Amino acid sequence: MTAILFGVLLVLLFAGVPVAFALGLAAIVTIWQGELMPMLIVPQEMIRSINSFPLLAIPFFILAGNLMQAGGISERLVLFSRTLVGSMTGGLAMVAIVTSAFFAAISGSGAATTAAVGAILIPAMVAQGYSPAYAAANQAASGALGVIIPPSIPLILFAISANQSVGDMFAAGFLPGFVVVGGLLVFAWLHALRHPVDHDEPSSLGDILRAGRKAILALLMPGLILGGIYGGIVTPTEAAVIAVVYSLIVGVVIYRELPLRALPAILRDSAITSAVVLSIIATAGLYGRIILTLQVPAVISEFVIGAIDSAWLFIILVNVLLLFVGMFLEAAAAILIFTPILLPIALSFGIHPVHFGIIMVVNLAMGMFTPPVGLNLFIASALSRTSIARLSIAVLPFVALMLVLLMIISFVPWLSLALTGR
Amino acid sequence: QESRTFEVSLPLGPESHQAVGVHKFGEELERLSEGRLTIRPQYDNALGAEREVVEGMGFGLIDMGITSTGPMGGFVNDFLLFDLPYIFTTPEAAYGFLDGEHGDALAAKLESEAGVKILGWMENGFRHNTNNVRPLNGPEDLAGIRHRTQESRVQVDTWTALGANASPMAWTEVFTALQQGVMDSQENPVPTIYDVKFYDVQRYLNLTKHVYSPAPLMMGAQLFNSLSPEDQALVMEAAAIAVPVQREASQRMEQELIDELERLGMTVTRPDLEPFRERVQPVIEQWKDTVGAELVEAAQASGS
Amino acid sequence: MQAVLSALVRGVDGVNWLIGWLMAALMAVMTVLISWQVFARYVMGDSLTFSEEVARFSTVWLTMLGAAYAYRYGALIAVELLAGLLGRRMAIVLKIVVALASAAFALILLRHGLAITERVLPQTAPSTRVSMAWLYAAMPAGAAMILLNALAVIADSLRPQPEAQP
Ligand code: NA
Ligand code: NA
Repeated sequence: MTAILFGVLLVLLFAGVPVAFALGLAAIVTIWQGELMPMLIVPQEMIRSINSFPLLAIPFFILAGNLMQAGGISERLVLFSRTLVGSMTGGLAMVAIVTSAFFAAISGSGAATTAAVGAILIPAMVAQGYSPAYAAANQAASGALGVIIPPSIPLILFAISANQSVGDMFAAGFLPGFVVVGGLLVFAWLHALRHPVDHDEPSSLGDILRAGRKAILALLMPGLILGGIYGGIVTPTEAAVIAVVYSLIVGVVIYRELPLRALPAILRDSAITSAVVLSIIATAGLYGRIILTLQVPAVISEFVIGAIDSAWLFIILVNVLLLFVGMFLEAAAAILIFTPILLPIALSFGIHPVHFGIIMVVNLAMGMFTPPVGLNLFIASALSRTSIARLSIAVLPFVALMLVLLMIISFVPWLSLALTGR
Repeated sequence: QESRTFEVSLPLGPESHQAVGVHKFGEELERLSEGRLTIRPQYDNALGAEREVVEGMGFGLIDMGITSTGPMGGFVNDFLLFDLPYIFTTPEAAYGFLDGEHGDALAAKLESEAGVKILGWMENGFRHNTNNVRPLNGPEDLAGIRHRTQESRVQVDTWTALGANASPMAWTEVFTALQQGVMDSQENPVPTIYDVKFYDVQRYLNLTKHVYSPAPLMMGAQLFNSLSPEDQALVMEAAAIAVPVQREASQRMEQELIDELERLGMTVTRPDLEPFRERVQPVIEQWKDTVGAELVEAAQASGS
Repeated sequence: MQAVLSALVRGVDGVNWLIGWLMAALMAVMTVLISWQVFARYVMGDSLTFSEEVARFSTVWLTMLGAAYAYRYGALIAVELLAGLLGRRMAIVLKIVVALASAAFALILLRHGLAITERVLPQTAPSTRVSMAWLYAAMPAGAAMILLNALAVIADSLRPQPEAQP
């Protein structure tokens, strides 16, 4: 039965059946083959998986991200970051990283971060003499911050699959997010030392203040969202809606770059993007239920615990597995499929569920820019007009860097747990 | 004779008062059937939240489960009775009501409307308020307090009548909401308050005893009817043995855990319940027709 | 034959156009409801009780209808490795096979989605007290749209023109 469940999924995915449909079909074939239960389980589990209030944050963060891009907020963030770090060695690469970190603290998605920041900065970097492949690789990796720094769709998904609070998962993402930012900044500097490129003229304090004033409404946004959550004013879902309302007011009323007539199309496109993620959640829920019915976690857990005797070894094994999974599978799907299998084993090794969630999310964030399949990779490739093949080589140093950072985050649970207050 | 393992869904974990009852049921069933019939508990809502579990048993997707009566009001209005405040005053009153004709009638209705058979009325016990603002000596102390209810119109009406700013919130978000201060207040049975560590984020435990919450042990009716008459009898017998054991554990845990919560730093208040009872009379009146006036009156009379 | 295929594609795309705006409306409703919920809790001191449930139901509809729409325009996430390795003709065959698999999935969802909607008709939702069929009907509705769009994708592959445009 288990072989059918995994085998059918692999075949369908490889054939190019959309992930959302492939998960559902694999579950259906398994139920039918094994006469596991009535087929009513299919609609019931799919609806149950998406009929959840914390999940509502996903469409709202996607909408907020789209409104910010259309309303001129991302441009102002870029301009301000340029006055801050643009004049350093490797300055513009650093601008991409810092702006992505800012943007990540507002949007929940790595793809949105890559698209919004990359659209402005990849051409700017190429103009200063960075190779298009490097500019694209740097952006694809920086975009992954989108899901490590809260708010984040994968963190929400893990929280839901693992029965953890979304607020806790968000708090846990902060320090690991900054570890990754630090690593990327050092990397950009080292790269620029070896491959000299232009950088901006140093900005005067006046320039910085002027750019800061223009960007202030955008800069306040992370504070508003995260302050709203941790100041005890709103739930993460409500914070996402506040981000929507705020970007709407700033874009339409204050910056006046977002015409009202553009709104319906933004709403529709955001709804479609949301449905892309949520439909995977629906069938992954069904798939997860069949995994549970077949007692796959118990069987794997018995095997793993028999074969491995340390939590360290287990964490390494999980990282290798997820790295491989992340090469092919989207983060959302991977979290929903693997959390029910891996989490019980992690718990039996005494690993804190919140820490384990961060390990999973950082790992799968890497998957967003590891070849051959990665959303950030595709977006950056399109923005830089670099072939996937060339970009795949250019990202390899970033993959190596992230592996090192991932090990730090895996073996220093404090980074994940310090801010959760648990 | 056929061997079978029934999967049983529990909202709480393996140390909970619910698990005491489910484990006892499993032991007895195994003993009575000489090892043929066994159970496999699935803790912490692994098979779904309470509503989906009740629905799933009716559809034949889940074998067995224990849940609060919260979701059953969606299937049979009569079950909203258990959401109404200050209907049962003592556990004995509730036991008398549930173990008699009224409990049987409710069970029969659930079986015909939802396809779920109630094997026995286990319990979550009385629900009490916890909050972070002040001890509740009377309902007036609830003024301005943001209070989380379960998803239930009756509960929202009750807490609004008591003077709180009440709204429903998903269970997974409650702990953080209380910790961060999005919500000030919640209500649950004492074993649940202890189990999910609300004492870390709430200062006051107020023994408001506003609702007695049964936790029926259930099986899908289709599944039950597919068993041989002998096996049906074994299932019923095992449940009958397990119910008093579970109730006893639930009551004992409530008493022990109130002391433990006080030791852990919560301020325990035992308010006079009369003013609370008076305040919620309009809520009972408002919902009486939906629930069934006779049923409400019979329940209210059960203690006296 | 070509005329029939064209008519089918045009018809399905017309329905998709409507559904696109319906989704925009659902998104707007969700935003208004949850903003109102925060406003009510803080400014009016009197929380809303129905907003969460209505917003959740809207999300479920948005997901099911949106999946069909996104599928039509190739926006659903898929591992598109194999198609890139094949020649043009084989790639078209593969595309049709994938669409047939999607159609089979949609048929199963449609059938059992209708069954479940019928069964939950008497069940009421906890906060709004409306029938739970309002929630579950999203399943057959979305499934029907996925099925139609799978047919349109197949019709598209059989016509000489390239990709559909949203
Ligand atoms: Na983020
Ligand atoms: Na990848």
